[in-house]
This record gives sequence, structure tokens and C-alpha cells, in this order.
Amino acid sequence: MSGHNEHFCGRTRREFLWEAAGGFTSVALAGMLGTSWLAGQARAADGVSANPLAGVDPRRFLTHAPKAKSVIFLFMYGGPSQVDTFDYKPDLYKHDGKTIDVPTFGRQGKRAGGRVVGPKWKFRPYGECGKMVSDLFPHLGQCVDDIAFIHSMYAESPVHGSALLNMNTGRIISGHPSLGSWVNYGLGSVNENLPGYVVMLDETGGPINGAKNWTSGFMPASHQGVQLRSEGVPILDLNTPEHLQNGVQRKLLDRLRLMNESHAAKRGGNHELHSRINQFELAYRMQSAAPEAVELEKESKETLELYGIDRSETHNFGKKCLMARRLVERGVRFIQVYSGGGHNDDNWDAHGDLVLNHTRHAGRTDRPVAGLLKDLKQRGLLDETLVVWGGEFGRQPTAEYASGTGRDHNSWGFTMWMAGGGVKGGISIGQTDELGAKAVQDRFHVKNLHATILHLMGMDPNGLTYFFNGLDESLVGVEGAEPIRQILA
Amino acid sequence: MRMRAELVWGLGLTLPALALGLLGVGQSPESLVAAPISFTQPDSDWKAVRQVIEDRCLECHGGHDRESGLSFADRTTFTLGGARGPVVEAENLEVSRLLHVIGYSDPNLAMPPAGQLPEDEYKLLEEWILAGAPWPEGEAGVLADASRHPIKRRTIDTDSEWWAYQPLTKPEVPSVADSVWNAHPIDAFVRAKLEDKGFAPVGLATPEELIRRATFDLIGLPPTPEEVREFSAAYEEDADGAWSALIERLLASPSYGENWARHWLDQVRFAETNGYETDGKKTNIWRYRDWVIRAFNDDMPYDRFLMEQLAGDELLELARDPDASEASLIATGYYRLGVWDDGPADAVQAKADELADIVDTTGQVALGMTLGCARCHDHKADPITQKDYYAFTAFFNNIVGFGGEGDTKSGGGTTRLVADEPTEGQYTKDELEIRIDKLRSTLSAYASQLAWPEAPSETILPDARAGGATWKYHEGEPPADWHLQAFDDAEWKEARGGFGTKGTPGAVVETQWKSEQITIRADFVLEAIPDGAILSIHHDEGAEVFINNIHVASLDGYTTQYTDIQLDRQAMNALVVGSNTIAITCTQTIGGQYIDAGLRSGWLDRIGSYADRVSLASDEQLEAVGGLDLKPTAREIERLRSLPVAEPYEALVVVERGNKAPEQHVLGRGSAHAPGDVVAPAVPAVLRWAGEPDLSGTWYGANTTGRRLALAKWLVNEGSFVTARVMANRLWQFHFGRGLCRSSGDFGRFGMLPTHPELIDYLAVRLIENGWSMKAMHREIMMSRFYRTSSVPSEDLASRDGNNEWYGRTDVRRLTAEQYRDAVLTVSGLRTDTMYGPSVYPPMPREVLETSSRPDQAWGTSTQEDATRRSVYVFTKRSLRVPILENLDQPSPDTPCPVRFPTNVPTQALITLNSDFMNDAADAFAGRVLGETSSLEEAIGAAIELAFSREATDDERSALVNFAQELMDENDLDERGAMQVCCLMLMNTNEFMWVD
Repeated sequence: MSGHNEHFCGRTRREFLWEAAGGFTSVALAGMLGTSWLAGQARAADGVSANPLAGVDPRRFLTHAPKAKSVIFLFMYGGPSQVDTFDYKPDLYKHDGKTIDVPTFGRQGKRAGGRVVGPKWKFRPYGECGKMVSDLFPHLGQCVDDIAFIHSMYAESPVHGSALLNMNTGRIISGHPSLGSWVNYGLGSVNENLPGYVVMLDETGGPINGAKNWTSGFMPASHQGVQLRSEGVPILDLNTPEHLQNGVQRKLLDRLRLMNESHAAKRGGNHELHSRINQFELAYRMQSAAPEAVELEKESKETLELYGIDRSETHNFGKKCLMARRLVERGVRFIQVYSGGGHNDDNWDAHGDLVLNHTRHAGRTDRPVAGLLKDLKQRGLLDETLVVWGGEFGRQPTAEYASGTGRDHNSWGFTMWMAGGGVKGGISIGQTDELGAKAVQDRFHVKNLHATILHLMGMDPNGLTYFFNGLDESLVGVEGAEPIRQILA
Repeated sequence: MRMRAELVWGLGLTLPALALGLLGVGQSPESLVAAPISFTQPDSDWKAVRQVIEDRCLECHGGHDRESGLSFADRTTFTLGGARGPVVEAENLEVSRLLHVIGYSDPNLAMPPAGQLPEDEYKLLEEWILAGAPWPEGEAGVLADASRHPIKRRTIDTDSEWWAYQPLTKPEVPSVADSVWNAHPIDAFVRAKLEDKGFAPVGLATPEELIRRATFDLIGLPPTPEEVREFSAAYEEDADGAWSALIERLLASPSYGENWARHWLDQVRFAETNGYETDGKKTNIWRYRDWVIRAFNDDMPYDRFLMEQLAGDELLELARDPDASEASLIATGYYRLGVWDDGPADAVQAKADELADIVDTTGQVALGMTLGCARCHDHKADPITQKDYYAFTAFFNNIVGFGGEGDTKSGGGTTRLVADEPTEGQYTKDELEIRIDKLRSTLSAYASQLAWPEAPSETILPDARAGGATWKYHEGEPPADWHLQAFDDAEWKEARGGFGTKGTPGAVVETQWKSEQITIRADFVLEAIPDGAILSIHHDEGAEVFINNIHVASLDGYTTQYTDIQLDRQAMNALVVGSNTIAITCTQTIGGQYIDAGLRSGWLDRIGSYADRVSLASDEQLEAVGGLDLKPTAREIERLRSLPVAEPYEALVVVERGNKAPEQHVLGRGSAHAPGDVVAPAVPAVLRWAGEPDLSGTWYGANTTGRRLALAKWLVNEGSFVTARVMANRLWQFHFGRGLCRSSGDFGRFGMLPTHPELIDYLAVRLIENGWSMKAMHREIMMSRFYRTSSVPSEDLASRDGNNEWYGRTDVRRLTAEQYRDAVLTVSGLRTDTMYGPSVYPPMPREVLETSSRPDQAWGTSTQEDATRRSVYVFTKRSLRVPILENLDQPSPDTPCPVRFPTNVPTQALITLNSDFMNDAADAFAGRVLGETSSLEEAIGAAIELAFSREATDDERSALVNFAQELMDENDLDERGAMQVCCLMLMNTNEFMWVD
């Protein structure tokens, strides 16, 4: 092995590893500087293309000590209604059925007003902070002292396709990397036997845009999210085919390694050839590591109950939440769990019958999400795990149609919350107007949410850049964005 | 001619012309009606205002930077305002730009960028601005040192010294001491650089390495063992002759176009769906892909290749270029490849984004310029101003957007009916008509005197004159899909046609219609398809007629009687035995409504009818008009009419709005809602020294402006100094794995400097001298000694030039995703070599389908035969990509990909080890080699030879035989099973996946 590929900024890899250790725990070190990551990323695999990661010191994006090591993004696809969940609007009840002037913008376009649909659930206070939470979330209500609610979110589009892109990639224009890709690009992966960016979908299907929501966009494909399933084979092609079982695959890999090593030996120690040899070993280990990570049999009965896995209604989402915790324990950086998939009432997109829709989706997620927060807390993981809850937008206070309780999309104001990982608990910031239609006070763009997540992970949102097509691209865009400081612990 | 342009540098931001009445989004209604508070206590109030400005604005405007020219440093700089003048409108304070931007009503013009001002701070600034924005003189009003950011004026010398924008001249070929490297100019350039750097190049690659390298390079497939053996033998006899013959054979292979087209498809971000919510299909966009493949195979010169894509329609229809054909229209599918949001949040901005996507792609693909960087502000590194950007945009701003001008969701309004290139003995419809017309003219003089024989004409659908048909009808705007046969009109009312008001001339009113629009639908049954059919219609202002989903007629202006229309071939083809549907929508804004239609079989006095008359006439009748010898002519017409025709069908093409383009404004921060100065179409100033596009053409009655044609011509004439450099570098890149300028999509200052600038210039000149022939360039490059050098570095090269910066050797290269999949299909004997046509759908794993929001509709099915066609024919769906291609780094098709970025991750290994695709192929591979040989040992030798394009060594063979034997002994596998494992292993080796 020779050539300057072995050197990083003029140092050998060993020196580099050693130096990088300063200031960080060994876990972080192993994670950020996993040898496979270096071997795999330090140069382009063809050995010739300019690799934007070449010689990149993974620390360079760390600007301060990270509060959160992992993120669990609970994506309430379809857009939950803020006034029926966490954004308490006592005056709205009495307007139910009245037609009022309130500008809205949804899939039906811009409207000047409409018939108010009063909140369909009662709110009651919870916790020491006395946060008002709707009866959709009796379990989550018990966790409010660990949660920071942001009631004044706004996004750029009230249409699912572009709004999902907005929430996941920061832009409504297609082609940019998603949040999880940025996190993994910025920090590298902790566990080389598992993907650093995992997506779990609803059993009814993927969200609109499908894989665009976890794309690595213009970044290398290695940064894209890997879909992990809660039933069957967790990762695509993870299972050894039948005819390769019982040690055949191991024999194949041993033979393959011999052939590859003899091939590489004749080619001047080409780094990429060696790297690919290692990838087979990593893949082999992933075959046992990934099923182990999602293996729930060893979890206690109490834990399974805590997540609602014993109940048919909450079984599926509960399982995914518990898998998320296990992935966090194994160092996966970014986990996104979708509540809702497909179209219409298979997700939170309550255009028709609000009560039916939200009862269903809150019913499926309330206990599991509360279980996740409690479990993370009792295991001491909540402090270093950032949990994010929200959809691509919220919903309007007025009805979409002449009759019924359905609400149209609303990107002018909606609620998201965060918990753990350096976030204050028991607080609510920002406000929508008295109808809950529009964020009016301390308004926060999706970019501010992204900036907060990056900041909590130890990075400067405006400094995390990737050079592409002549621009230093960043998740928060060229204008930059500040983290939401009010919620930082 | 050299020009100097003086530009204000760093002041490019164009702020908006202000729309009155815009309310701040963040402001509750109360704050807007609240009585303005006057600035009663200037001192303390100013203090508060100053604090806000210091906290929120100063850093970018006067502190650390002076963004968009605006500085809050002191009273003077503030009064001066920004790039677009004062930010406070003294005459009309309410529309002050400063107030507008802090109001946050327009996300693209919202300040401060990090987030909206808190309510109290906003109110304070609002009051202050409405009070005239009083700014104290003296110390109290000095927030920063104004001298820190003087207004800079930077002069761009358009004869910039930057290498990419220099005039293109043929550099002198160096002479090197190592004389074997003087024979070929490319070698001399490469060797001279090595001499400079003190390196010695390595020797030549082996014949086996060479044929594998050349074959993958040109046709993207592995050579067969026979080809390797033949070549190796011939190479021993006459190396140069064998090498040259090999190159010619590969260039003549149709597989060449399939491989090189893929390189181009990366550049233009080819995909077959639109992305976004519905990710809808782009109608027949595979025709563009086929056009590209054919262009490469036909060695279409690059200048022509570029011109047809940018302006094929204008070459054909404005310039009446003799080499242009209907296929040139298909080339303009180039404009329809991008993403398109069918439900945009902001339709105006979405159109601007779509246009910008075209501008950015064209800039990068044709000019190697990252023009997109100048969309929102002047380019940070290259001499491209924001004004340049929008001047370039003006070449394209008359293009009808993907969705058409209405709100159609299928690319409506941007398709045209285009015939495929006819194959031999076949004519396009137009060509056929010209031939028939010629014959008809000889007949017409006589035939017109003949009595029309009893023509078989039967009523299919009676119009009101014949009693009327029963129609379903709907008044007012019709629902979407009203024209489709599958549309459910059960809810519609039913009545007898015609529809209208009494007294309309020529009308037979059966049912009253008085509103502005009516849509009618009727079903009719055919027991046989007639030879010809005639639509009789009487309509108002405008009528659109569809039969079985096919747009049959678009009729303008009202009629006062029934008119007959012969259904054309496309409409006739739409008719089916059984139930058919006709759907018509008709509008009428003022009284006198009427719409009715009918159908009957038969021919009008048009194509074919003269021949029919002659054929049907008796000899006596013909003799009576002096045309006894006309029957053969009539028969020839009938023969021609019976020939298969290259039928026109839908292709996505460029369509403009007419021959007058809208004004192009500079858009502040790229926002379509902030139009600034008007600019005329022009190429970037830095390129203008070579001359400007000729926009003087006037195209009377044309449907396009001719601007794209002017630009296209400029690119390959005056601008060829850039165009040829970019393409020459790209040709080098796809032969050697990287460009001489590695950033092949960015020749600017953010890109990388070329390692061999003289060689780029040499190749660019040669490209032009070769008449832009790409095949000629392949020959030149591949005939060099350098192309044939080994990829194994010497010790010296390995230690001192590990990156192979100076080309002491060639680079080993990993197969692209498509080449890898194609190679697997090839060695396993599964590959189907059908070319062209609609894309195919290899089986998609169920778990991947489930990532889609409509798993059951997400993917198509193909026959086994189609599913194993080459990867260039695999359907490219933006939201659902084929795992093996995506994981092996086929780029995301949303943005142009000048250079692929290969990655090395374990999930790739999972797919190449465990996927059904690989295991099925391994099984076929095993079956193939076992079937072609008579022993396990021979089978293993054959498998190695197929996989590596070289003979197996004895050691290799015996090691694998032992391996297979072990699997059979210890793992209970039969011979086929053990062979399958061997084949899977071989296809996972680096030797299989990499080319020396």
C-alpha cells in the first residue's frame, strides 16, 4: 500500500485517527472515523474522479460539543391538524359552523374565509408545565414536561409533494439531499455494520414522492436513507438466499477475497479495489447485525407493553418505535419513522372525516410515541437522542367542503415538537393567530427546524456545506438559518 | 473584436417592483389597522430602532458584508440605498422596499433571512419607516465604518485571461525525446507533460486487456471469448492493423450508440417521469432516448447533435434546413426532460424554476458554465452577472411550459404528432401524400369529369338533419377527463342533438342550449371499420372533437351550416369494432348557440377519391373523358395507400407561444415575483468577443421566435471555442474515466484547472476539423499509444503520482451501473439485444414497491425477454429507481450529472450477492457453461473466460474446481448448484467489475 491515498492532510491514517480522538469519547471516535468509512469515502471508487470528500476531516463540521448523537424523526405524513392536537384554541370551539373571514391556502387554492370547524376534541392540562393537550393523546400528554412545542412553524408549500420535499430536504425543488443525508455526510456513521440513515415506512405504503423523501440528491448514493422493514427481511437483499445458507456464502466470500486480493496485488495497491474487498465483509456482518438490531424477542414484556406492541391498534407503530430505540443504541445517526402512508385516510390527510382520520392515526401512535419517550428516558438515552414529531404541514381551522369536518392543508402555521437531545422540556414557543390559521409570533421556517437539529448535533447549520455545480450547497440554503434558540437547553 | 464591459460587481441584487397592498404575512389584522404612532421622542426611539438594525441587519448590510449594495453604516450609505436605489420611498412610505422585505410576505424577498422579526421589533421598524425613517446625523447615526465597504466597481475584461474563454487555436504539437511518443500528437502532449514532471510512462497493455478495455469503452459490453482469441492472434501478426480493425468493428456496432447515449443522458438528466406528487409519465419520452442512440450510431456530428436538440423544430420549420426531418422535432424533447411540479404551491415561481432548470442545464451541458450560480446574484467566481443569466434565459422564455398553457397534467400542449424515421421502402405520411398527390394530379383532370360512382356511405351516427343522435350533455366548464372514453358520464343529462337556440342559421334544434359552453358525448357501435369516415359538424365559436381519446379536430369560428371533415388516418386508427365514443365540447360567448355532429362512412372528394372513381369507372366512361390509360395510375395510388406508413404519434417536443417572446426581466433573488430590468437575449458578456447570436431573422407567421436557433448556431460557430472545448474534454473523460479538466461541467473558477490545457485545445480543434464527428475523435484518441498503455503503475508512479494526475499510465475503471448489469446479463446468456422502443420494467422487489405511495401502480411489468434488455432501455422513474442501478451510482436524474460519483458501500455488496437478479443470472450462467462444455473443469474454465475476457490460468481453474467440489461434498450442492455459486462469485470479483 503506497501512494498519498493513505494520507489525510499530510498525516497517516493512524496519526489522523489518533489526533482526531482529542476531545471526543471513544464511541464518537469509532463512529466518526470508522475505518470503513474512511476507506470507503476518502476517494472516489473509480480511483480517478475528484471526490469532494477526499481528505475531508469529518471533524471539520463539528463546531461545538454535540447534545444529540441520534435523531428519531417521527413523520406524521399527511399533516396533523394543530388545533385538534397541541395548539389549544379555546375560542375556536364557539365559532364551530360559523362562516368567517380568514385567508387560507391549501390544495383548493387560496380562500378568503370559510366555515369554522371547531376542534373536535377536548383539551386538558398535563404535567408540571400544565400544557394543554387534546384527548387524542392521553399517553403523550404524560410526557409534556420533556417536550418543547413549536406552534409557529411555517413551510413553503401546501401541497404534499413539494411540502414533503420541503420538510425532508429543505427545498420544494427536487434534487437536494435529505436531512438524514446531511447528518451522515457531516458526522459519518457510528456503527459500520448498520446504515447510518434508516427510514421506516407505514404498512400502508410509502409517502408521496417515495424514495425522493430520503434521497441523497446530488450527494453520493451512499448517503441516502436505507429502508428498514419491521416485518420480514429488514433491509433489501439482506437475507442470504437459500442455496447460499449453511456456510456456503461464507465459503464464497473467502474464495472471493482470495481472488480479489490476488487481482489487487497485481495492480499497484489500488485503494478502491481494497475498499471493495472490505465492503463484502461489512455486508456479511450487516446480515447478522441488522436482524439483531430489529430483533424484539429479547425485549421484556413490560417494554413491549410500554410501546403498545401487545395491542393490535398500536402493534405496528409501536414496533417501529422500539426498533428506533434499538437502532439508537447501536449508533444509527438518523432514523425516520413514518406514521401514515399511501393516500387519503391512510395517513393524516383528513380532508373528509376529521374525527375518523385523526382518531385512527393518533390512536395508532399515541401510546408508542409516549412509550418511546419514556423508554429512552428510563435508559438514560433521551439526553442524547433528539426526537422530532410533525408532518409536512398542518391543517386549516375551516372546513374544506360545504359539509363535513375535513380540513384542507395549511403551510402558513402548524405545530411540531421536539424532545430530548439538548432541548428544553415543558415549554411551548411561538403562536398562531386566535384561529390557529397562521403563525404570527416567533414564526419559524422549516429551515429553522433543520438548523436546530444540525446545531444540536454539534454542527453549524450554515457551515455544513457540500460543493455542487459551482455552489457551496447547504441544507438551510444560501440565506442561512438560525437554530430555534428558545428551545435549546 | 474585443469588448470591455463595465459591470457593477457585487451589486447584482435586483429588488422588486413593489405590488401595492401586500400585507405582511406575520401581521395580525389588528396591527395593520392600529393608528400609526408618530416618532414623538426621536432620541429614545432612534436608540431602539438602531438596536434592531444592529441586531438584525448590520452584519450583512454594512458590517461584515455589504450585501446587494445596501449598507446601514451611516446616514449617507442608508440614504443611498441598495443596488436598486433607496430602500425607503420618501413619496410613498407605505410601499418602501424595506417595509416590504421585513413584512415577510414573499418568502423570496424576506428579511432578515434567518427568520422574521419579532412582532415588537417589526412594529418599531414599521413605525419608523412610516415616519420617514429619520436617521440622525453625526455620531448617533454611525453604526459602522462606511469606508469598509466602498461601492466596488469591477471591470470585466471580456477577453478574460481565463483559460476556457480564450480564442481557440491549434497548439503546436511538442516534440519529445522518447521518439516513439512523437508519432501521434496526443502522445506527444501526454509525454511532454510527463517529461516536465520527470516521469516515465509504463509499457503497453496486453492484447486481452486492450480488447476488454476498448469493448467496454465503446459498446459497454464485455468481448466474447472468440473475439478475444481472434483479436489476440491478429494483434500478434499486426498490432496496429488489428487494433484499428477492432476499433472500426466496435464503432460500427449498434451497441456503441447504446453505451455512449447513456453518457449523454446523464448530462441532460434524462428521466421518464416528472417527479413530485404524481410523478406522472412523460409521454413517449423514450423517443428522445432513441434519437440520441441513433445519433451516436449514425455519427451525427456534434454540432448538429447539439443544434437539433436546442432548435430542431426551428431548423426544420424556420430555416427549412434540408438535413432536418421530423426526427429533429423529437430531439427537442431535450426541453421536456426535467422535473415538473404538477401541483405547485406558487405556479408563477414554478414556471420560472422550470425555465431556470433549462437554462442551467444548457449552460452546463453546452458551455461548461455553472450559469445557475448567477440566477440570484452575480456569479461569485466567474465573470457572469445576474444580467447575463437572464439575458441567456431570454433565449428560452417563449417556450410553453411542460404543463402547457392551461393546467393540463400530462404535458398537454407540448406534444406533437411525429412519425418515426421510416425504414427502407416505407414513407412517412407526408412523403406518401406527396407521391400520391403527384399521381392524383395526373388523374384529376379526367377524374373530375367522371360521375361519382355509387359510393358506399352509411350513417354511423345521425346528425340532426337525419333525425339526430342521443347524446349525454353537460353545460358549463367540463370536468377533467371529459374527453376520455373511460370518463363516466352516467350522471349527465341525455337528449337528442342538435343543441342550440332557435334561429341559428342552418341549425336543426332538438334540445335547447343557451349557456356559454356545452360538452356532449355519444357512443356508437361499429360492426366493421369502414375504409373512410366523414364527420359532419355544425358548431359555434370553438369546438374540440375527440373520438376514442384521440383529438380529431379543433375547430375555430362558428359555422352557418354543416361542414364535412374526412377523418384522418390517426382518427381512423382509433376506431374499434364494438363501442366507440365521440366527445365534443363547444363554446359560445354570445347568443345563437348551436352544436351538432354526425358520422358516416365514405370518402369526401379528397385523397383517394379520384383513384376510386377511376377504378370504379367503366372503360366506356374513361374513354368518354379521354383517360382510358389511367387505370394503372389509379392502381399505383391504391398500392401506395396500402403501404405501411411511418405513422405520426405523440412525442414530447418544444413548443413556443408564437413568434414574439415575452419581455425577460432580471428577477430579484431569482424570484418571479420580483421582476427588475428588462434584458434582451444575449450570451454571457465574457463570451461575446467572438460575436453574438444573429437575432435578425424575421419569421413571419411562424410559431416560434427563432431565438433558440440563433443561439444553437452561435454555439457551434462563433461560440465553438467553448463548445468544442467542453465536448472534447467530455470525450476524453468517457474514454479515460476523467476529463483533462476534471470538472467537466464547470470550466469556471470553481471548477478544476485542466492538467493538459493544450491537449484540450488540440482535441477541440481536431473535433472541429473532423467536422465534429465523434467517431473520428474516438479513432484519434484510441489510436494513440497512450490509450494502449497499461494501467499498472510503475513503482515511481505509484509513489509520486498515486492519483495518476500526469498520465504515466491509464486508470483502472469500475464499470458503470448499467455496464455492470449489462455484463451480468451478457455472460449469463440472458441478455436480449432488441433495440429501441418503449422502456422496459425489470422485476422490482416487492419491498421496494412498498416505498411508493401507490405500490400497485408504481411499476410496470415486462416479459422476461424485455426485462433482460440493456439497462439504457430500463424505465427511469424519478421516485422509484431500480435498486441495482441506483446502488451502483446511476445518478439521480433531477440534476445534470457531468461526472458520476462511484461509491463503495456494503449495501451494494448485499445486492450483488443476495438479490434475485444476481442469483437468477448466476444460475443461468452456470447452466450455460455446463451446457456448452463436457466437464466441470471445462465449465469453470469457460466461466472464467466469459467473466474476465481472458483464458483461465491453470491455478485459477484448479482452485475453483476444488472450491466447487468442496461445495458439492460438504454443502450438499449438486454440480449445477456449485457452479451457480462459482458464477455468482465470479460476477462479484473486482476483475469482473473493473476494467484494466
